[in-house]
Parts: sequence; C-alpha cells; structure tokens
Amino acid sequence: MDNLLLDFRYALRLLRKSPGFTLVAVLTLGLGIGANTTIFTIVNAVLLRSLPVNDPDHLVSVLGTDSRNSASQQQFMPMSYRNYEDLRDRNGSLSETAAQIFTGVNVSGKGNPEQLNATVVSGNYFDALGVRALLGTTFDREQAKKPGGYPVVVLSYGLWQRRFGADPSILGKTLTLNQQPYTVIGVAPKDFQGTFPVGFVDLWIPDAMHDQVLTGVFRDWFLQRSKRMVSVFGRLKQGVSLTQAEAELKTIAGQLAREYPNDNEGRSVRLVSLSEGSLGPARGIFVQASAVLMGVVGLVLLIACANLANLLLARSADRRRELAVRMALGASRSRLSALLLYECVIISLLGGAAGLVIAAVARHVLLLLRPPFLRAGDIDLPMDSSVLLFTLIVAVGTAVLFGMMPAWQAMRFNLSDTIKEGGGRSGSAGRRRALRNALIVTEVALSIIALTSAGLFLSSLHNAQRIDPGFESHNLLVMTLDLGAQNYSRDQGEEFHRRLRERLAAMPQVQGAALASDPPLGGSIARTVFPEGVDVGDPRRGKLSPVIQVDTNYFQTLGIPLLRGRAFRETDRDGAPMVTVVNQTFAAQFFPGQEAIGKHFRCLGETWNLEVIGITRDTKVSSVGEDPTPQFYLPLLQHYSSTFTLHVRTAGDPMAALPTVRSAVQELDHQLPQVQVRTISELLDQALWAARFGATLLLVFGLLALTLAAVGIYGVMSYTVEQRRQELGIRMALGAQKRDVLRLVLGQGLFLTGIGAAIGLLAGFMLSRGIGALLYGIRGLDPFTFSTVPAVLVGVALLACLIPARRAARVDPLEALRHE
Amino acid sequence: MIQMKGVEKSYPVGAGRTWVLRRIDLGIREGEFVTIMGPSGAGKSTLMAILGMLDSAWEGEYNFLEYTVHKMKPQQRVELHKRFIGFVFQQYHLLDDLTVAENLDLPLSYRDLKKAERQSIVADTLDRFQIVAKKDLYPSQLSGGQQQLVAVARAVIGNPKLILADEPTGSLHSSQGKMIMDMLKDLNRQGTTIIQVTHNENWAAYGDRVIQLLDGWIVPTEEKRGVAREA
Repeated sequence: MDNLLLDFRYALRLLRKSPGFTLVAVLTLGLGIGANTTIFTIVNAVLLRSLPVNDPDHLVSVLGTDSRNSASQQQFMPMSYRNYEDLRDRNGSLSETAAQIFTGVNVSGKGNPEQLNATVVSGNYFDALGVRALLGTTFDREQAKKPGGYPVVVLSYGLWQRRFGADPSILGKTLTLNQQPYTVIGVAPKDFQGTFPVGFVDLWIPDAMHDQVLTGVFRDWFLQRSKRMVSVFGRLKQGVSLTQAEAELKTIAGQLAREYPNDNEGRSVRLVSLSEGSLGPARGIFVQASAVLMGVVGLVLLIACANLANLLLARSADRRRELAVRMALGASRSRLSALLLYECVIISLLGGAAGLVIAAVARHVLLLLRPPFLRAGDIDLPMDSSVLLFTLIVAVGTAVLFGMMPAWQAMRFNLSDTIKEGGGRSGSAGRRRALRNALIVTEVALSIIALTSAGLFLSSLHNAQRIDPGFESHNLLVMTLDLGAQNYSRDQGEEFHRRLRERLAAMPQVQGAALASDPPLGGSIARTVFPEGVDVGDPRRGKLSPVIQVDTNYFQTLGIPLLRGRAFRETDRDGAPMVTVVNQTFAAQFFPGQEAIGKHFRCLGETWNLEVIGITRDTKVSSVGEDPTPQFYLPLLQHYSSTFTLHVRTAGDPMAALPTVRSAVQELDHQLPQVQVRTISELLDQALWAARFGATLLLVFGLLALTLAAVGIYGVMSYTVEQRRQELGIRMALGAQKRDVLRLVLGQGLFLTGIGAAIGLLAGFMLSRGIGALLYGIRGLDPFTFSTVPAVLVGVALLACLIPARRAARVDPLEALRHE
Repeated sequence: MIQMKGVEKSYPVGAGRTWVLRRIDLGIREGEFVTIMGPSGAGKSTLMAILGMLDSAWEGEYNFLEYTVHKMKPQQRVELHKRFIGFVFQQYHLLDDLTVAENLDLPLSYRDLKKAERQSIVADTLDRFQIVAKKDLYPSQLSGGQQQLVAVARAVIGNPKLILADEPTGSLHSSQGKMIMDMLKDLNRQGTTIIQVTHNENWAAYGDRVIQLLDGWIVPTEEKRGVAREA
C-alpha cells in the first residue's frame, strides 16, 4: 500500500511538472468522455432509467393487436375501454390492470385560461404503479367507480409549482376544468411523470369522469367496444412471467373476439415491458438513433485515446532512462508498468471530471434544444449515479486503452544499453514510429466514419427540408381550439365556426381561413376502412386509414390540389348523401386500377357508406419522412368535431396577423384557450426536430473528431520531423532543396491520411447502409457526403502537416549535424 | 564471491557475430576492491552489467556467493541483484523529479520494506553521508560531486555485499573524484566488495588489483599488492 501511494504520488508530481502535457491530455480526454457522457445522459433519461414507481420490472404494457391491419401499424395499439374492463376482471396473472387515456382539458377561473395535458386514469392507476402522493392522497378506487361522481384531480409536481406557486394549502381547493369544478386531492411526487420517461402530464383525473372531461368523438366513443382509445398496463403477480401472462390475456382476448365478433374479430393483445411499451414505436427509432450517436461519440473517444497514446509514446521515449535506473535499483517490470499506468489513471480521472463538467454544460444546451412540444421541466436529464458510474467506467477503460501500448513500448528497452547511453537512443525507435503511423491511420479512419455519419444526417436533413408536404407552407397560421371542453353543443359550435370564419374573412391580412379536426403533420384518428364490395365481416380485408374532418375552404386555404372530382360544399351537411374526398394513395390502394370517384367504402362499426367525390394530392399526415399514406377527408358539416384547428392563410408575415386573429377568437369566447398557436413553418420545423437535432449533434461530434484527428496528425508529424532532424540535415547537405523536404514530410503525412481515409470511407459506406432507416431520401452512396468528407479531411490533414513540413524545410543542415 | 567461467557475449551482425566478451574467467573474493580498465569498446560496461545481473543474455558460467546465476531465471536474478548489489553510475542517474531523500528511498521501496523502516534507514544514510541538509533538494540543485555522493549513498542504502561502480568519477573534477573514491575505499574497508571501472590510473590505485580488458578479452596483468589472485 505504501509503495502504491509512493508511485501514485510520483505520477502526480510528474504530471504537475508537465502542465502543458497534462492540460492537453486532460482536455483531449475530457472532450471525448464529455461527448460520451452527454449522449449517455440522454439514453439514460429516456431508455435506461427506471420509472420512479414501485418495482418497475413487474409492470407490463398490454398492447392491442389486429390481424386486419399490417404488422407495422399494429405494434403499439391501444384497446377499447370495454375490452380493458373485461381483461381486468377476467385475468389472474396481473395483480392490477390499469388504463389511461390522454386528453387536453381547458382550465379556467383564476389565472390565464390554458389547456392542460390531462391523463384520465382508472381508479387503481396509482395503486398499480405503487406511487404515493407527495401531498394529500391519490384516487380511491371505490369512489372512482361512480360515473360522474368523483370530480377530483391529482396535480403533477410541475403544474403545482408552475400554476399554483407550490401552494402548500392547495389540497381541497377547486380547479375549473372544462367548465366543471374539480377538487385537488393530491400532488404527485416530483420525479413522477406517469408511465413515461419524458413527462408532459399536468394532472390526473379518474376515469369515472370520462363523460365530463373527454370531448368530441373521444367522449362519444369512450365506451364503444370497437374504439381503441385506452392504453393499458398491469403489474405481474409474483411468480408469473410475462409470457405466462400474455398467454392468459390472449386467451381472454380470444373469448372477447368470439363474444363480440363485430367489434373484436381479429383483435388480440401482446405484452411487453412497460418501459418498452410506454415509448411506443418511437422506442425503436430512439434505440437506433442512440446507437448511432453512441457509436460516433465512441469514435471521438477512440480518437482522443489515439492522440493520448501518441503523446505518451513520445513521452515514454523520454522516460526510458528513468525506467532503466528504477529497474537497476530493483524495480520489477510489473511495478514499473503500474507506475506508468497510474499516470494514465490520473489523466483519465481528471479527464472524466472534465468530461462531467463538459456534459453538465452540454446538458443545459440539450435542454434548450428540446423538442418544441416539451416545456422546460417536462424532461429531465439527470446526472445520476448511472451517469457517474458510466463516466467512471469510461474513464478507467480509456486509461487502459491509451496507456497499455505506450506502457508496453516503454518497457521494451535493453537495460544495460539504456543505462550506458543515458536513454538517448533506443533500438525500438522504428517500432514506435510504426505504432505512431498506425495510430494516425486509425485516427483518420475513425474521423472519416464520424464525419460520414454527420454528412449523411446533414444530407438527410437537407432532403427532409426539401420534401414537399403536399400543401402550401408559406404564410399559414394554425391554432387549436376545443369547444367541447367549454361545453359547447354542436349547434353552438357550428355557430362559433360560422362567426369565426366571418370575422376572419373581413380582415385584410387574411387571405383565407379553414377549419379542420387536426393540424397538418399532427396525425389524426385512424379508422378501419372496408372498400365497396368487400365483406365487412371478413376481418382481414379492412385497413386502417387516417381521417380528418375539414370545412369547405380547407383544400383551397391549404393549397392542396384537387386532382379529380370536387371539394366539399355547403350542401354536404347532415341529411345530404355521405361523401368523402380521398388522397391519391387512398384511391390507388383501395380502388387499384379503377376510377375511385363514385366508389363507396365503409368504416368499421358504421352503418353508412361514404361516396368518394374527389381525389386530392397526397399530403404528409404525421411526419415529413413518412411514406405516402392513404388518407380520407370528411365534411365538417356532416361530421362535427368539437376540437378543431383553425388554419389562416395570411397576406404577409403570419406572426404579424396573429394578434388580430387571437382577438377575433377572444371576442367570441375570452375563456377559450388558444392552443398550439404556430405558423406552418414552425410546425415543419417541429416535424424535422429529430432530424435537425441528430444532424446538429453529429456535426458537432464529427467536427470534434476532425479537430482531434488534426491535432493528432500535427503532433505526430511534428515529433517525426524532430526525430528526423539529422536525416533531414544530411539530405540538405547532400543537395536536397526546401521543396524536396516539404514534399517528403507532406508526402508521408498524406500517405498515412490516404490509407486511413480509404479504410474510413469503406466503413462509412457500410455504416450508411446500416442506418438507412434513419435517413430521408438516401439510398446507397450519398454523393455529397462521400465527396465532401474525404476532401475536408485531406484538406485539414494537409494543413496539419504543413506547419511541421515548413519547420522541416527550415532545418539548418550544419546545425542539425552539429547537434548530433 | 564471484566465479565466472567462459562467459561470452555477442551480437548477431549480418551472417556473423560481433563479440563483446570472450571466454571471461574471473574470480573475485569477498572484501576485494577490483578495478577494471581498458579502452572504449573493450567490454568493461558489459562485464559490469553481467556481474550486476542487469544483462541476462550471455553464455558461460557465473556463480555469485552460493548462487548458480547461469541456471537462474531472469526474475530470480533480479531478486539476487536486489538483495546483494548496489550500482554507482558515471552519470549518477539520480531521478530528477525526486528529492535526495526520495532518491535514497527508491531502492528500499523496491525491497518491500515498511515505510517506517525505510524512513529510519534513509535518515541513517543521510547522516552517515553527511547530506542531511540536502535531503529535500532535487538533484538539479546539487553539484556533480554531491550528486555522485547521493548516488553512492543510494547504492549502499540497501546494505549490498557488492558495489559496482561504472566510472563513478568520470563526470567529476579531481577533488570531487577523490571524495567519491575515498568514500568507496571506506566502504571497502567496512567489508563491502567493490568493482569499479575507470580510465584513471590514480583511481585505479584505490583498488587491490586491476583487470585489463581489450576487445572483450581479459589481458593477463600484474597483480597489485598480491592480496588476491584469479582463481
């Protein structure tokens, strides 16, 4: 132990004596480790961190499946509330089976009217999760059985802080939600975000109040067995495996399909862990994107390690005399290896500490770059024990990685020769040079891969930005209004629609206004569609298709071209024939090779047919990168929606017209919250957030990799020139010109760069094939990436070699020879 | 103490070999002070390295005390070296980043002694060599003679039976050189066997006898004072 401390102290002293080396080493490693810790912080927060609930490993998501729809669509389906009730009551595998549905609720009374994110949950929700209230209590499951008779809420910690200033006497106070009073009975713990790692839940309401709190079709459909609206999860009983529980629930689902064939034919369930189920289909994308990011920051760290190994290799040459003396005084090789390793461990730990500081700063930047739909506080990126442990492991791992080879090299000396020569020469100089060259090739190859990733994602972002969303995206403003939450009847709602349109039409800044049930790129409800002539009873023939209710101005206001047929008219209202407009993909999929105009189809559970009266161009429904999606439109006058999005086409800057538009809404109802007020450009930006975020991070890490590689190349070339001083002097004494020396040094640097670039490009090409699913519009080789990246890298390498090369060209032959 | 028979060392060069030492037969008794002399390239330092077990790539027989060195594994030779041999180098080879006291402590730290015990030995040695006042100085703060004094102190701190001094005065001026040689002589009088390499006849005279090396061979030479004979 004494000896360990002694050697450790000596290693510390050596590092203190070389502050320049130590600073460069710690900073290099700090950047590498910091990049890794930063990305791990995100992965940890979203994928790895356990939900702050009791025994999360026994929680499972119960997902709906439907053999009538394609596999990709049925991976993470909700289920109907009625089916949930039956599954809950009949299964013996889950100790608790709970349900939840997400909705917006308008809060009025004290403070600004606003829409809050509510989760309507079964009475056993908190019991199932094993979560106790921070203040007050959670729901009483017996009281939660009385329909409409349990108007209480549990507030999220965030809402309690934000809207109520952390009022300690909040319990028992009343909150007006959708015009109804609710009593606050509890405040949830600070870190509890429901079943999601990323939280945007403001409050929880018992499902006994579904009729009061849900609006529009959600209220109408809540108790319909065919309408899949609730997310279900449960807690496995002790000793019951997920597979056993799934088998039992599938059996019950089979019974329900037989008991209610019209609603449940073809439907079943599957079970996954709650952590997997709660993120839904986004999880797969996130896992893939995380793998790419972790891979790239891993490359950055490897490059940093290669740089450090290079520095230590040079240093080890200088330390040969010291090591030889130590050995002559009785030190064993293992003790000397440990001594060298201590130095690496100290650098690593300091680098780890620097990395943590960098990650802490980067964390704040990441929170600023959060998706627009998340408020500050909705997402936490904690530097918790997992992050600290990860950083420690990475730091110690890198110490071994960059310390091993130089330590091994440092120990390869002939003791008596080294003692005799004072450590000035070494027979292993050639080996070290080969190692340094190999490190350069590796650094270049790794940075090419990192830069290729960045290039591919930049190209992908560029492609995504050029994707035509299918509608005119300039000067368009949207805002969502929920009249149902204000208890408007259909007549009142339609009157509101009419008066709003009138007011907007009178405004000079407004070129057009339209109403629709959903905003562009916001997704929409999907219905199972059976085309004309298909047996509605055949479960395999129906297909899910998004539907949106729009008014008569919609296509014109959004600039969606009508390809054939007609748009909706004022006459397409209740009592008139049921009509629909479909997009071109819908027409092609449901009526292949036929004229779709005049054809009919039916939605699952409905008794009426829809007649196709028009065909529009495709638009993007949920995301800009999606494949063409079949979509159909219904006239708002025939299919009223209490929640709707107002689309306003302005003559100039839409933000300039916003105050006038807001006033027009407020004049009609000053208590009506105006939600998600955005320009279409902002919506498109939001839709491209993930692509932009990924490209930005990868660009930063790619440039970091490039910088580190350039520093590495510069370091090695400088050292090489220093080592070859005498040789260069002899060459110049024999008649070599400056340009010959320049060419010699540059040639060596570029040769190594070229080998590394070739290896890196090959790996980059394989990478581009592997991550194709994350990229927009990139198939095979991306010309931009695979031409720009090597050009940039060779340019930077040239610059990195130029300074040492010029220094070499200035060598005075006489001085160099005298020096020897 | 030392018996060498037919010790040879060579390097492969091209198709042939370059010989550094040829058929060295050598005997040194405990308590002797032996001087090795010879021109540059004669093999003096190589012989010292073999004697000190810093070099294990040689052929022949080497017996040290009761140990058969040529049959020992490298690790065993290192242990032998640690227990019985101290080195003094021409360039002192003090570690620049350690103080005088720490340099003295270094060989002890490789002998797995407890810290308290080491501190006590270091304190005694500092006192014995009268360098207590220098204990916290770094080598760069000492004169050449003082540095070599510390190097000698470091060589004897482990109480070796044999001190190998490779041109211990080679980097010193004459007065400092005399101080070091007197110090070595004192150690010899106290029972430590000493083998030195030197080019200086005056310093060679401190020894009991001289072994001349030339091109790797031992040159038969006149005994000095007749104290010892080659076996």
